[in-house]
Amino acid sequence: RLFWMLRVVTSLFIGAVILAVNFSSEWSVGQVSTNTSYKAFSSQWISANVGLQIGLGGVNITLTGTPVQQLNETIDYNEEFTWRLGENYAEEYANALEKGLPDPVLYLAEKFTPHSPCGLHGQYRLAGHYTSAMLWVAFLCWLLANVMLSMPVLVYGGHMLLATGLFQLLGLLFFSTATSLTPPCPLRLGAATLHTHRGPAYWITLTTGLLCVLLGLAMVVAHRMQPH
Amino acid sequence: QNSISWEVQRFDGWYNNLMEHRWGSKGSRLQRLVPASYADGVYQPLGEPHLPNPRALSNTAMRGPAGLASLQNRTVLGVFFGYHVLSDLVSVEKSGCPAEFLNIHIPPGDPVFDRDQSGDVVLPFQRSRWDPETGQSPSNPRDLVSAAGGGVGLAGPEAAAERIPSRRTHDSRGPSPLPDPPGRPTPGSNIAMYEWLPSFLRKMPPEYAGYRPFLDPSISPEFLAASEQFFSTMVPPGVYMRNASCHFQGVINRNSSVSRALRVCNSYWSREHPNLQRAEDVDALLLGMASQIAEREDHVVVEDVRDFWPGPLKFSRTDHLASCLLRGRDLGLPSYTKARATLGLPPVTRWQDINPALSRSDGTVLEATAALYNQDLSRLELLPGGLLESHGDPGPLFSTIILDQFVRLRDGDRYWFENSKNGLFSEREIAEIRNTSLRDVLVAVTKVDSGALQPSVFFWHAGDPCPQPGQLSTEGLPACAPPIMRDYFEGSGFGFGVTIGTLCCFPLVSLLSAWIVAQLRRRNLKRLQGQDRQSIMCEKLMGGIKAMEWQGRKEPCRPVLVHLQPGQIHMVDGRLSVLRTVQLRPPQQVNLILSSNHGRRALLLKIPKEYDLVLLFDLEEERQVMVESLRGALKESGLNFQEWELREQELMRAAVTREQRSHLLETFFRHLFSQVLDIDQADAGALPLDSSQKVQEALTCELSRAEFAESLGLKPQDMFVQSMFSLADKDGNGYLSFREFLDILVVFMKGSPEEKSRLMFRMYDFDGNGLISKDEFIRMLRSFIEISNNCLTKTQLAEVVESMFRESGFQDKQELTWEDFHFMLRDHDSELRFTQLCVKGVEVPEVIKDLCRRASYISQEKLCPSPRVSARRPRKDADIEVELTPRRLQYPNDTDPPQEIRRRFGKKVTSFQPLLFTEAHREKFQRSRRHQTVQQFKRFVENYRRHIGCLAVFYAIAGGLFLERAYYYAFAAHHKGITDTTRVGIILSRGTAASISFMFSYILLTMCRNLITFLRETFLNRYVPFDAAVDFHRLIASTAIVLTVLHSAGHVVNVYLFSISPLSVLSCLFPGLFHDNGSEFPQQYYWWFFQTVPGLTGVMLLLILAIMYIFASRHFRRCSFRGFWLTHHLYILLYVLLIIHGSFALIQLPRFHIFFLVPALIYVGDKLVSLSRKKVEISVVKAELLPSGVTHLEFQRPQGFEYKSGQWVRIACLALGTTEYHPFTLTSAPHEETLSLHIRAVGPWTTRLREIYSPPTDDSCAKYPKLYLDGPFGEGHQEWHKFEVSVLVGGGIGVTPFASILKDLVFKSSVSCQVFCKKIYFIWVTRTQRQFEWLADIIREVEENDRQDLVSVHIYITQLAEKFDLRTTMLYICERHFQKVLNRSLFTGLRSVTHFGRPPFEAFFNSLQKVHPQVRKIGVFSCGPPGMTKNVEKACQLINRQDRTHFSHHYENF
Ligand SMILES: Cc1cc2nc3c(=O)[nH]c(=O)nc-3n(C[C@H](O)[C@H](O)[C@H](O)COP(=O)(O)OP(=O)(O)OC[C@H]3O[C@@H](n4cnc5c(N)ncnc54)[C@H](O)[C@@H]3O)c2cc1C
Ligand code: HEM
Ligand code: HEM
Repeated sequence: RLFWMLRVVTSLFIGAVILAVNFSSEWSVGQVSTNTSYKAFSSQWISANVGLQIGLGGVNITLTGTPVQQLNETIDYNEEFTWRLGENYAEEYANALEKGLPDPVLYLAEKFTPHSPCGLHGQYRLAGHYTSAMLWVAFLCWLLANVMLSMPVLVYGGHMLLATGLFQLLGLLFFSTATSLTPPCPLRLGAATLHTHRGPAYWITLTTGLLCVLLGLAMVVAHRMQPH
Repeated sequence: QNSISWEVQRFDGWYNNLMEHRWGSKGSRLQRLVPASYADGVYQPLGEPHLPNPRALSNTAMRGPAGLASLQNRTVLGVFFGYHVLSDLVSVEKSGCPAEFLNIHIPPGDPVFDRDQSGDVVLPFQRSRWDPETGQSPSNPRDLVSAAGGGVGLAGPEAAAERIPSRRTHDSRGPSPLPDPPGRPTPGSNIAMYEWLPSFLRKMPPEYAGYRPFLDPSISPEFLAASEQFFSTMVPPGVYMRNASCHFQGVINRNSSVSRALRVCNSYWSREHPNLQRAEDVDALLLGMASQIAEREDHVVVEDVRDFWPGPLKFSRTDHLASCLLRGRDLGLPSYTKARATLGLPPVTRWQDINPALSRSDGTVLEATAALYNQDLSRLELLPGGLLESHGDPGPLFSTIILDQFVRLRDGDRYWFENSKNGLFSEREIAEIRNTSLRDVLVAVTKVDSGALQPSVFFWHAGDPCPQPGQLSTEGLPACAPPIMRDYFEGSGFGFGVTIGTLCCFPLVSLLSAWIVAQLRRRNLKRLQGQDRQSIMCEKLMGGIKAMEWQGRKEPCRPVLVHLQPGQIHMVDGRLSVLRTVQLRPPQQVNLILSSNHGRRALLLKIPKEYDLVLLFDLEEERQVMVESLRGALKESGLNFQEWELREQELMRAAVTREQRSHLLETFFRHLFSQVLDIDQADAGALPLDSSQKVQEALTCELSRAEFAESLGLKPQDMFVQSMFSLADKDGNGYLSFREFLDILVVFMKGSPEEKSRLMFRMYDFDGNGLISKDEFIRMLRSFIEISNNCLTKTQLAEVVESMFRESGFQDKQELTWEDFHFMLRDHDSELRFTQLCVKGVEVPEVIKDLCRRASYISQEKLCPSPRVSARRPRKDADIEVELTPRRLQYPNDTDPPQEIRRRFGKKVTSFQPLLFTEAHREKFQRSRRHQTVQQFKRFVENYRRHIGCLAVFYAIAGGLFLERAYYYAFAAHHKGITDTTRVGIILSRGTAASISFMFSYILLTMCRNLITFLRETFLNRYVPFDAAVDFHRLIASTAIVLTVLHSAGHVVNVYLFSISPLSVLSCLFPGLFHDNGSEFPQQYYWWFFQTVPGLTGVMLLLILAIMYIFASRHFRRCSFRGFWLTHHLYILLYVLLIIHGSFALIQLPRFHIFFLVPALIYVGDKLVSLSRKKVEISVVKAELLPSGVTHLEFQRPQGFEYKSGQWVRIACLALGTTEYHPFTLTSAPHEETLSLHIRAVGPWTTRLREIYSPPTDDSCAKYPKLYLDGPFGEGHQEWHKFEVSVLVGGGIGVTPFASILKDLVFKSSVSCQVFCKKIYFIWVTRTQRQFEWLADIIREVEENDRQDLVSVHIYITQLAEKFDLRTTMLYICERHFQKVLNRSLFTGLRSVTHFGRPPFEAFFNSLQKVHPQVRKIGVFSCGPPGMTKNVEKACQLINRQDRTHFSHHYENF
């Protein structure tokens, strides 16, 4: 009974992770607290925490004042810019300008525009695109694995689980090659520089991927040793 | 904490204005001063007939010699500084998307661009980027977009000023390639506004009166055009370089000549100029420019700008002025007069008034220009007008435009340094900036002494330091490099061709590999068969000498055991069946030849009148043993023999192989028959004199018994052969000579019935006493039915004989004289008449066949009206009636006695073929040809309407998708511009891509076997022909491959066009991939093919498809099903690649996955259903090896396994690998407890299966390997019960479905289930009835249970090749008797009727129509070899042509 529970929970966990991670924007994260100019038509500076979260489909930029109330304003922004297929990042950026978002947000968002000399856009977009595709495939594999595990064909379930893991790892590979290939692009906010590093989504995908591979391998090996 | 107390300006110009954030930002519109003038009022530029050709204008109005100094002594430094200022303010050079071209057509004979007078030179000019929100309607004509923001104000010049001293700023900027938000403006703005502008216009801008927030600082298109144009007149042909001490240095050119100055036209873009290596060189250049006087401010422009301006990469030079003119038209600039009026300048009404000074000094220019404009001053464009105005200074028009722009830039800029409200600078700082001049900057950065520069660097007045050596003209300067046309495709042609060629070779490569696989497999199969033979041989090795028999050059060697016995040599194979017997009779002369090389392993025994025996041994010793015993044996039988040695090759050449011998025999037979005919005609028996040695040889050769038997298609041991042979062999030497054979043949061919029966009589009169005893008679019959000895016991046979005797009234005789014998056969007189000896392998001469045919068509009485035959008529009819009696019941309406005896015609008559009154009804059926065709077509449509419907829907969808994309790219995608680049290519490739996506996705549905099996039971079956799934699969696949080839061809066109398109066009089409930076070549073809995602995957897809399709072809599928199966599973890779193929979204968003998702889910679900049950192990209950390689497996029925008769399953045998599944039809009926299969060994899998399931020595069924079972799957045959009357035609192993169906039917009727079916005809076509004895058992069972006479079985035995051969005739006679007596077949022991020869389907169906006149539709189900099903199909078509009963045919081949 306990074993059964464990199985269900593990399986659900894996599926949930694959789905969640796909929509998460925490693949690469960076955070810096700095003094920075804030908005147009004002020369005032604020001190704020600027966060950058790069996901598979876009970036999320957060700006939180420290403290949140400064200049009689609530400084707490969380803006998303997406570059999924079919969406136009440049247009979103133009809209953001129109909207008049705070300077640091615009500054960071601009670094990801297609024509920015940073070249971040193409890299991250492609990597995100293919990683996301891999994760979808992994998700389908997971579905199949579940179906097969509930049928009398356990080995195939094992194989599918293995495939799930492998596709997740492949996705990670895509993501990391792309991110490590980009030339460093300093993100200077005021005096400080924002550095990004791999985020929780990345690590959790890595662990579930490895978990799947291990489980799958175990099942396959078990079947080899003891066919019935 | 806050180090900056002012607001930082954005680089892109946003948020400069409090109200209008966008004003002046990068990417905002240009602001017109004068309303636009476009040809269509919206966006079409004005062009040639209305306005002159730009190059012609440039040639007319702007050509002139260089070397005139500026009237105001402006320096070159001012000119180039101005260029930098402007290039930061106004750059619209970015070309627009989609690419639109306004090309410059060079007038024929242009001295620079058209030197060879071809007259078709075109300089490309691309229109600039515009705001897509404009240019749609007349009130909002097209507006261009600025690439640099005016909102940055004159901070731009900042950079210009900074750029001059490149050395310094470089260090201060640090290594970052990214410009960071600008800090505070520095003196650049001041210099540009207050030093450079006045020097240029000779007018001071009005005093700064503070920031004017409501002023739009945006650039105007007029300014954009005017400023650039004006500079160009001042550009010198070269630039001096000097050092701080006024030394003007020589300049080393590319070709290492030395000249006075740096030539302008050769220095554009050249960053690695030999003179500009060090920072000091730049200083020297700056100092030189400060001293050099610019060209005169007039209408004349130097050739460096006018003829040798750098063009796009494709065309290295262009005319700057002509481009500017076109730019003006692109911008929709107003005419000169209109602009003047709008800007408030006094109107100009006459051409001379444009520039009175010019018209005085050189009026021809104005006149020529006027001529170009048709003397119509109102047409004169702004640019040439403005330029012609200038004399010493920019004319009033340009001055006004430029000043207005600069003032707006200054006053509308919140960050202007004099604006004290922005908090950037203090009063003191402002004053300091105001006091900084360019000279100060230069002195500061170049480290020259301030004495080396004049105070105002934009002018050089007499007395200033370092005067220039002289006004530069083109003389003494190196000539400009002439224009070069670059062909982007140059050098790629060969590679492109090779690439395409390689792609086309994929199928060939695949074909080759398929061929190799097929060869390998054939060899493997042979080895497999050889192996089991050998292995068995090893087990049972007993007696004899092991050797390999060599059978000829092309044939494989076979392992044999040689037994030497007195008088003969036997050769047996591993199973101890005799392969060959060589007779050794004394008079023979035998030659024994031994090989002398290659290990001396071969032995050749030359025996006359037979093909030679060549044996190969492993070792010489083994051969020695053989030779010894051979010698012994030969001596023993008293043969003469000679022995000698030959080399092995010669030995083999000397050997007469079986093939040679059979060639010989063929000649033999051919001559035999011609002889017979000769006799027929001339009644003379002389041998013809044939010169050919071969024929002579053939005629002297003699037939052995084995050969004789073989020529009759019988076994040598058969009694019939033996008796016949001994009868013919008159001299008794054991061989038939030509003469002997001829004699006997003559009787058969030509003899009267009496002669024939006498021959028979003699044959079976074993003791030669002139009488045939009953015993001998029985032996005779036995000899006839030797092939079917299974089903007749001795007593049965005796019974038959008794009855035959009784019938003829000889019941009390023990022996028959010949007369009696002949009398007994009297009924069959006519059969005997046409009886011949049918000789296998030799075509019966046409004449004879004709004879038979003719005889049979015209009823024989007419041919030979023998009174005897007519006398016998009544009896014969009675005879038939007897035959018919048991059948009568079923044909209540069939009361007519047979009218005409046509039974000899064709095959033997089917007993229910009662009448053939063709004559009477002829008119009714035989309408016009057209009517028949129409009828046939109607029937076809009726039969296939579901197919047609489904196909129509499918292809309509595919075609619709094609058209949708084709339409989109042809007409609706203009905004993408791709259609202008590659029209046919893109339409073809995208249209087909859409169809392919659909087809390759939905092809999966045809392979959802479980779904199909399920759905066929539902109402959908009425609309969808599920049986045709596999055919449909093939059809889709073959259409898809055609489309795929078209798709690839389309992309080949695209790639070609892309690789010759300039980058500016490509960057519009693929904004994500290319940036038009003006300095790069487009990607070459290989980049598109091998370095893009769609290209590379496309090539891989082509390879995969080539492999899949070649291996899926019928031929290779037959050769190597495994190869097909393995390669066919590349489909998984195919889908993966297809998804990746589109994922790059090169041209449009990927769509394949949308099509793919639904079918893929269904398919996976279907596979899961299969998977869930196909891994269940099932134990085999019983296995039997039946004759002719058929294995019968009986196994457990899994739980809940429900199926219909006629359905099939796929099985894998655990012992043969768990992945290889093969389809087999269930032969058990649904009501049975177990499932059973009958499997014929045809290939490796089935052969091994047969071995595995050979019965174990101790019979414990647990020992059988278990099975995996997948199924059941539906099949067309299961529909038999939907027809009132069905005809089932089974051939070979194809009878399996019918076994199940028959059992099912009989069971259903016996348990009095309501069955719709009234009558079933089962036609079993088999080579010999022995082949599928197991079916006979089933049929017997069916017959026993079939109380209601539902089933009528007809067996056609095809092996007895010709119906008129003697043996068949005798068999037929006996069969008739047997049936009469025992009511079962002599052959099969069944009640069913046995026929000989191939079934005449057409006649059969025809008679069915008559038997069941009320049935509108008869189902025909056939299964077996393709030849047979094809015949059935043809017969159905023929019948369907008539307007009667409808035959609907379903067939399956396997
Ligand atoms: C619907 C259906 C019902 C059949 N029912 C019977 C039956 O009742 N009794 C019987 O003896 N045979 C039946 N066959 C034929 C049988 O499947 C093949 O003879 C057998 O698979 C041969 O396998 P092999 O490897 O020994 O021979 P191979 O030499 O590999 O193949 C001989 C031929 O059989 C066909 N074949 C081989 N493998 C397969 C496969 N996995 N799937 C489909 N076709 C294959 C190929 O066309 C090939 O040309 C049926 C076939 C089909 C399609
Ligand atoms: C001319 C080309 C093709 C021919 C003649 C062909 C023929 C066949 C045949 C006869 C089968 C049935 C095999 C069997 O179960 O006995 C089959 C199965 C199949 N084919 Fe094709 N095919 C062709 C092309 C394709 C293509 C292009 C695809 C896919 C892109 C494809 C996908 C499949 C699939 C998925 C199966 C089912 C395999 C299975 O049951 O495991 N085929 N094909
Ligand atoms: C030399 C070979 C080929 C080339 C250069 C090529 C090129 C392309 C290109 C450029 C596209 C557009 C992709 C995009 O918009 O991003 C495309 C789409 C497509 N191609 Fe090919 N292709 C080739 C061969 C094939 C083959 C062999 C197939 C079929 C099996 C195929 C099927 C498709 C399909 C289905 C699409 C649409 C994809 C989608 O919409 O998702 N192509 N091809």
